[in-house]
Amino acid sequence: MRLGARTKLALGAVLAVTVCALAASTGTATGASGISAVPLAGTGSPQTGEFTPSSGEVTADEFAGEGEETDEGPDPYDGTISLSDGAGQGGSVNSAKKAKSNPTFNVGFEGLNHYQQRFARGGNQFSLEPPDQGLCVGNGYVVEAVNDVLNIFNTSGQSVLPDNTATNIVSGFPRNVNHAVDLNSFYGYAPAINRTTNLRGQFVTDPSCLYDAATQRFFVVVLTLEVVPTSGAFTTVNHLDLAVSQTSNPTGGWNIYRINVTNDGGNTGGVNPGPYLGDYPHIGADANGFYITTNAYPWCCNGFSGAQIYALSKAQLAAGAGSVAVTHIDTSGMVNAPSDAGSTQPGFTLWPSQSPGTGSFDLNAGGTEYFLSSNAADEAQKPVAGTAGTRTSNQLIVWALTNTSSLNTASPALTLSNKILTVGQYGVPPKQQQQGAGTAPDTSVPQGHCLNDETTQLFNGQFGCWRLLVGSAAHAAGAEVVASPDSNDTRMQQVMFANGKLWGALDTALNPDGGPQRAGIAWYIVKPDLSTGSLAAKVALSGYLGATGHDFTYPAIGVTPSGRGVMAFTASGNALYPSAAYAPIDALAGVGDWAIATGGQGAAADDGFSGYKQTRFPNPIRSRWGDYGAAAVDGNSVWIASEYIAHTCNYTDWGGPFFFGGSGDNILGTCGGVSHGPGPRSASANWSTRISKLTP
Amino acid sequence: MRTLVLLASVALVLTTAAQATVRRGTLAGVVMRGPIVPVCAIEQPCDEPAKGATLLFSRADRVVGRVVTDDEGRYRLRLPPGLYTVRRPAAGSVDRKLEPNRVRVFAGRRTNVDFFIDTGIR
Repeated sequence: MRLGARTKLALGAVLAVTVCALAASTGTATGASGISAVPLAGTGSPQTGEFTPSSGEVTADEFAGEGEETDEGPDPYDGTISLSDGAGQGGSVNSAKKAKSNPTFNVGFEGLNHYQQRFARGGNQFSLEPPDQGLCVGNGYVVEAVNDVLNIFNTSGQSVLPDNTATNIVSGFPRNVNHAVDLNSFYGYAPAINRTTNLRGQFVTDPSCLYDAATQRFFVVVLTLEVVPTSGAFTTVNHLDLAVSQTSNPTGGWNIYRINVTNDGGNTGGVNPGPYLGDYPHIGADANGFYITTNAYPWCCNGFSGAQIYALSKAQLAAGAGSVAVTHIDTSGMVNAPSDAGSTQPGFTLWPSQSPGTGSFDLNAGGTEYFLSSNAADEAQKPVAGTAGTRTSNQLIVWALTNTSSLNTASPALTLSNKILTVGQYGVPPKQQQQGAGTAPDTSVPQGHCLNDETTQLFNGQFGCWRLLVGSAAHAAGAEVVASPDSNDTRMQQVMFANGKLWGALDTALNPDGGPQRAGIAWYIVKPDLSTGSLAAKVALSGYLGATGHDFTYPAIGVTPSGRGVMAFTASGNALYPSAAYAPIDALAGVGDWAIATGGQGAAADDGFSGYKQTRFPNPIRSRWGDYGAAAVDGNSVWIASEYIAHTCNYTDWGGPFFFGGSGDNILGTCGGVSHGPGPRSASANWSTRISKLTP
Repeated sequence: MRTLVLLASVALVLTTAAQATVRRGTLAGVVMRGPIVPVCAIEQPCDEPAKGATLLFSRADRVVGRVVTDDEGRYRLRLPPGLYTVRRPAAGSVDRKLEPNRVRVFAGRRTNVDFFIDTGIR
């Protein structure tokens, strides 16, 4: 069933319980592939690298901007996908079966936040949005990485990294960033921006983390973009930086491998030549291999050049081998569904599966790693032109990479195949709503309020708070409103292979209770089968999660070896600030009632720079959120991590001594008070991350 | 019959004259594409000018205007007043990856409209 953009659907609460595999087609590996050697590039450690303490002008560079109009982003699907259970809690499957998963809250704490991100390494960092969370847990450690900072906690939530407060001098005072270490330090790079010389270091982005219980190693992967140090301009050279802990203790040394992905992509339609950007890297592992996938975008053009797979021997990485073979596969042309490239589509966001513990891997077919992907995105349907497709689909693509045991030999010989399953309709979601969205920011949304303010007297006698942040041309872009944060598109989110099944979820448009369209979640539990020698799969259970007046975004599923799972996500709504939430999931009852994680209730509105036209002037705004959450399984527990707004910060405290007669921190916008922190935010952003442990 | 031909001719002349006197409007602005990097930093642009991008302006499913952006992503063209659908050549009738995809041109006035192309990079 292929539906036009205006097709109206009316689906019941139960979407597709035990939908048999309606295999539209099967794709086999024909994408370009190659094997190369990746040398050990160096070592790293979670210790802050060299830097020059920032001067009193630490934030000056950030506020030289000058302002645009509408909030940009993909148009949502313009059809209807109904979810009607009448309960208002969004349970998506009407099943009489008793759920296996009944999560008990164990512990929760605030993870990394924007203050720590911005003021790590002596403040020689950019203000960044969104955080992009990576989380992994094992051997008593909780490792979290976001753009662009890392921390390691014990299972009670205390950082176990050395306290670097005394030496972390920013604007003349030591800054407590809860021991966090910037990712540039971790990977051995110069600071992201030297606030004294203005020289730029490598641009590190999109961190992911995985703990492999079999090898007892932690893996952290980022995409690193090379820049011209004097200007910050991108050279187009980019590489995946893969850090592997040298022991089961992540606070010690790490081995670093760099995989250059600059030339990896399909020249789709002959109009999308390289070099390429290896965007949105995500990681997984099976018994034999460690896998990274990217979305290759041409730097030149608006098309899409295919999801790329990089397969490496997990054992060799764990052993710190001096050189590791990497098998690269380009998925361009591998999905047997039509696109503007012809009768096939490229894979888009193939999320590699992770498995809990040591006994959940699929050992069939010489060892198998699974992936899931979706194909409503423009990248799948219009890879040549880079224009919009239907933005909706009812297809889920299951991928199997077999013979992974060959990764441990001198001649890896992998086979990639896929199967298209028919599932319920999904489509690009609308933006999230948050309490106050679309209205003038009040004093609880200080950056937005400041940008609109013309009357506050400043420390220098001038009037108008906006003068602290932007120039007059940017200010002329007009009044700000409380933002509607991004809701992602329909790309696949975190995938688990546990209890013999694949578990995944994605963001979708949804009409809870038949009402207005909101951002919701489509989830899938798939049973793959390689017993016949080729890939077969069926949907064991699937459905939607949504609720009237709410938006659910960026799901991440963690599942224990026994099949008990938790799905993390951000919940926001008409009367709800962005909050860290979760719902149980299992293969008997599907997804159960959702709840806000203990301590994860949003305290204020998202007040980030990317959502304001004056701060983005002359560029368009896109209120960034996400771009992904994370879940990690440790024993019989599931750790989840989601972005939320943890702290309030009122306008007066935000302005501090920058307002006439005010007092507080000498850095604008931290709400750090006269003790100079630690604050919860910077002037430019207020995101936090919430980490929770649940036993389902 | 001769009268009808005469009347038709007069009507055609009047219509042509009226069209000739309709003052065109100017549409100008910048076409940007982004994000160009996965994460957005406040000091760095997350977007860049879409150089060499072709925009088609249509009314009643007929392309009325066409423009190609320069190296700074700038464009400028004159069009008869009215409401237009805007798309790129390879897009369908509605280019939902281009924002906005409908614009209004006013007689004798310059209207600034900036367009944005979503790359999909996150």
